[in-house]
This record gives sequence, structure tokens and C-alpha cells, in this order.
Amino acid sequence: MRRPPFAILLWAAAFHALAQQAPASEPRDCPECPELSLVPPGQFQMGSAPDAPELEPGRGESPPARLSFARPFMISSREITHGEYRRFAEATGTKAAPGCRVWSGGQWIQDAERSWRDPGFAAAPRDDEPVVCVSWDDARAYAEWLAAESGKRYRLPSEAEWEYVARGGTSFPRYWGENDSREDLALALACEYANVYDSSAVDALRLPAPNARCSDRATMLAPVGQYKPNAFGVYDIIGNAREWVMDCFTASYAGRPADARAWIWQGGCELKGVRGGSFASRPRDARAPARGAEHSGHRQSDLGFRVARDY
Amino acid sequence: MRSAAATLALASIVAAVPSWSAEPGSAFRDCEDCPDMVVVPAGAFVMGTPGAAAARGAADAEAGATVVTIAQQFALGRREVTRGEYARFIADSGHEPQAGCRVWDAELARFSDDNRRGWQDIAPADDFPATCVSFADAVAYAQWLAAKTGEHYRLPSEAEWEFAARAGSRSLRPWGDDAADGCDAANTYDLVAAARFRLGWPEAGCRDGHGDLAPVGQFAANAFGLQDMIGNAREWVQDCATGSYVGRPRDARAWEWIGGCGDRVQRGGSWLTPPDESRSASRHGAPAGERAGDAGFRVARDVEARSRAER
Repeated sequence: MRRPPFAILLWAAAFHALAQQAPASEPRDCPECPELSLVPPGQFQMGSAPDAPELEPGRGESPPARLSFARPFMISSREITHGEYRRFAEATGTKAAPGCRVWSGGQWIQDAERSWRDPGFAAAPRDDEPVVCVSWDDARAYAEWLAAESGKRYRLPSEAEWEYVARGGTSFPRYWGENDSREDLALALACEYANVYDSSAVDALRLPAPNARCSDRATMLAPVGQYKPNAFGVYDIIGNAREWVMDCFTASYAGRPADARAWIWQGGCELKGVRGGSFASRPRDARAPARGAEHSGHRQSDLGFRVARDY
Repeated sequence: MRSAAATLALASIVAAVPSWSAEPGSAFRDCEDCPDMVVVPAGAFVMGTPGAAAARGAADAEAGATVVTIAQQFALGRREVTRGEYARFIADSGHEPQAGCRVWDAELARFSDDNRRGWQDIAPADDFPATCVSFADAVAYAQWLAAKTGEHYRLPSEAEWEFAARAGSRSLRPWGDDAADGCDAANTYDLVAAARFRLGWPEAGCRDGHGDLAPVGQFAANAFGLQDMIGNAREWVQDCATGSYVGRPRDARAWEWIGGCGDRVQRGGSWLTPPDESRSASRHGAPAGERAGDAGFRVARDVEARSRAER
């Protein structure tokens, strides 16, 4: 078994200690605005080394890219909730577009009856659960509404910002320090920090994938902010709902900007980045550097978002 | 009434056809000093190398083969832009390229930047390809031609380039799969070049008669009537360099980022490129500012009014 060097453990311990303190939260920009965390500037390695465990071929996670962020930025401490999104929909008269990909009978199926208002879970969605069944366009519309309400530059986080936040100042694929979820090195700490595919979800989902060897007490979505935050005071960035990012997706970092900017094609793109994994993701897909993509219009009952804004 | 509408519709179709005959394969020149152009037909093709693992030298960047549709015919330079053509542009436009050229240093046995040499110094005569040109130099040439002729001259997109280079072929090279069969079709790193310059990689096992740059138009044309697509000088195309085709446009558009990109694509390889990379699908990314002694370009031009979306 590979053990992280002692210095890294110390580093991780320092961040654990930081994470235990209640991070200073910034005041909200508007009554409807989400609570934000301030993320400091810095440098980090986006992606993973070619010999990293749990690499998914063809997703472009490796080779990595060295990025430098010159300015701080803000990101919502939690995933945007059902209640927050509902207030947006009511204020703007946005109708719930019907149709969402939901987990049913042991597989993901497109269900024309479902929408963010009713994603098809056993119980009606709670206001403090992440909103799901929202497309990339829906998420952008929400951010633009926040921007109009607050006068601040709300937007989706770039993929680089997202991963920088998700690593929480560590170099680990999971900010709580676990490096590997393979059978012999199975996750055990994950359930303190994230709503992942764990023993509580196995009976409900029966995914053909390994699971975290612990219980997070949530089979599907959990209310936001129930688990331990990372050093930036950010909750649920791994697990719970997958999260849209601003960037177009291509399966390699070659040619990407070396800073915090979103990587966007002229003329637009169909495939957008999706990050963080969900309660239904294989452990290897619920890591800070793991990459995914969906079409802009895709709606799924484990896919939501959080917002960022310039500082 | 109905026939009047039909006549009107017919008249508008006729009006959209260029005044001259743009038959695929037909050649033209817009001015005395302008490059010879060939009309490339519309069509669809597989861009990239399917089952790339099987192709020697094929890289990840070309592995995600994608069906690309070239919806409209376009014109492409029959040959690489020559030093003579480039000299007229320099004299006429006042464009002042920086000095400096990346060349093979036989004494040091490596590529190095020679600040004393420029575009005048590598090609030995006016009928050789213009080399030591940056991406911006090549774009400036195309813009000068456009201003001079009133036609939409530009660099080809990467998709247009590969479609034109393949000219209907699906093999690794326009003449087949084997590099050693190409000595009548391309000036590549062959036995003649290898006898003059030991570059540290294998050569194609045939003799093309040139151990360095060759005058343009010395080799057999491909099925579209284009010469030197493979070999002689690498050619700048408009696209940003990427490590994957995932997410790229499925049409003739160049793939570019908002905010620009540092590396642009060069295609076709040169007289000194390893034969494994002298292929129709092989991609090379180079810093946009690089001027290399074996890198030049050819121009493209629209022959049909493009739809707004494709511009």
C-alpha cells in the first residue's frame, strides 16, 4: 500500500484543523443570494499524473496542467438548493421544463413527467436539498438572475476554479486525504465529508461499481451542508449532486488556459463540463480531478450546480 | 401567383451562384501575383485515425476520429505559398516580420533559434515555400490577399486541410499506408534527406530526390489536384492546438477559443518530419509565434457565400 509521505500528512492535518473552524462567511449579496466562500489566489496542478490511481481513460484528466490564479474569487459554500432555485423560478416566471433523466428500476431513464420540481425520489424534494434536473442553460439563467438581483458578477465556476476549490488547498483527489478507492484501499473517511455512493446507497441503487466502505446515511440526495466542509468552507463539492461548470469539454488539457478562465470555444459547444460526482457516482468519478461532460440541455436527477462570482 | 413565387425563388438561387464556374477541381487565380487556387468539393469524411493504436505514430490527439461534414466547396492553394509570393506581400504591405528562425543546427545536432536568419534566408529561391513565418505572418498574408482581391482569403481550418489532404482517401497517407511508397508524391524525410542530415529518427525507405526543402509543385498532385499537402513545409491552419477531438465542431469551422490560444496547429509535416508523423491525420501544435525553417502555409478562400453561423 502506498502511504503519503509524512510531510503531506502534516499538511493534511493542518487543513483538517482549518476545516473544523467555522470559516468566515461573507454576507449575502442579496436576500435571495447564496452564502459565499472566499477563495484565495494561488497555484495548483489541475488533473493527475499519468500513474495516478483511479484514472479514467479518455477523459483527459492526465497529463495535468499547471495553473496560476492571480485573483481571489467567491464560490457558493453549498450547492444551489431546491428552495433557492424555486424562488428564482417564481420571481422570473420560469416554467419547469418537463423531462429529466431519473433513476428508476435499476437504471437511468428519461422520464417526461419529471422536472426539478419533482425529480422522482421517494419523498418530495426538500427546500434544503440541492436542486437537480437543471440543465447548463437553466444554471446559467439562475446565475444571471442573481447577477441582476445583486449587481455582482455571478456566473458558473470555471472548471479550473471548481477543481481548485474541490482540492481545498490540498493536492489530494479527495480533500480529506484519501487517495484511492480500489477494493484493497477502500474509502472509509468519505462518509464524514461527502454524500457518495456508499453502503447506505448500495441497496437502493445497486450500481455495478465499488462503493465507499462507510455510511453517510443518505441513499440519494442529502440536504446541503450536512457533511464537513473543506478548508475553503465549501460543502458537498464532492458527491451529493454533480455540478455544472462553465467550460466546454474536450478530453485533454493540452491547449487550455493556464489560469482561472473558463475554456470556451468560439461559436459555442454542446458538451459542458460536469464535476464532483454524486450520490450515484462510482468513487473514481467522485474525486476533485475526475472529469465528466454532458450536453448543455441535459437534465438528470443527480445533476445540479453551484455559482461563483468575481471578488 | 404560384409561378411568380417559383420564379422569384429560382432567381434568388441563381443569384447566389458565383459569377464564374466553381466546378470542383477547377483552378483559378484572382490576380497576377495571387496563388493558384483549386476548388475543393463539399463532402463528409472521417477526421482523425480510427483505431489509432494500430497506426504507427498515431497520437491520442487524432484518436477520437469524428465524422466532419464540409457543407460547402471552398478553394485551397494548389501549392504552399512561395517565397516569391510572400516577398511581394512584404514589399507591398509593409508587414515587418521579426527576424529569427528555428533551424536544424548540424554542428550541434539539434534545432536552435538563429536570430540572424529570417524568411529570406532559408528557401534558396522564389519558387520554394515561404518558411520562417509565424501564424500571425501567415494570417497577415491572407488578409493582404483578401484586401487586394476583395475575396475572403484566410487560412484553411484544420478540418478543411485534412479533408483536402485526404482527397477521398481513407489510408494513413494520400497514396496508401506505407511511407516508403510516397516518394513521387511528397518531399518527406527520405533516404536522400537522411544522407544529408542525421536527425535521430528513421527515414522513409525511398528516394524523393530532395534532401531539404524542394521547390513547390515538384511532386504528383492528389486526387483533388493539390500538391505538397504532405511534406516539404509544415502548414499553419487556423485552429487552436488540442490534445483531443472530443467536443470539436463537426463542420468546416476552425476550432478556436474565446480569448485566443497559445498554440496553433500545423499539418502535413515537412521534409524533416519523422515519417510516422507525415500522415494525413497527424497533428502538430506549435507556439503561434514560432518561425521555423520547415514551416510555411497555404491559403484558403471561400467560393460560396457562407451562412452567418459558419463565419
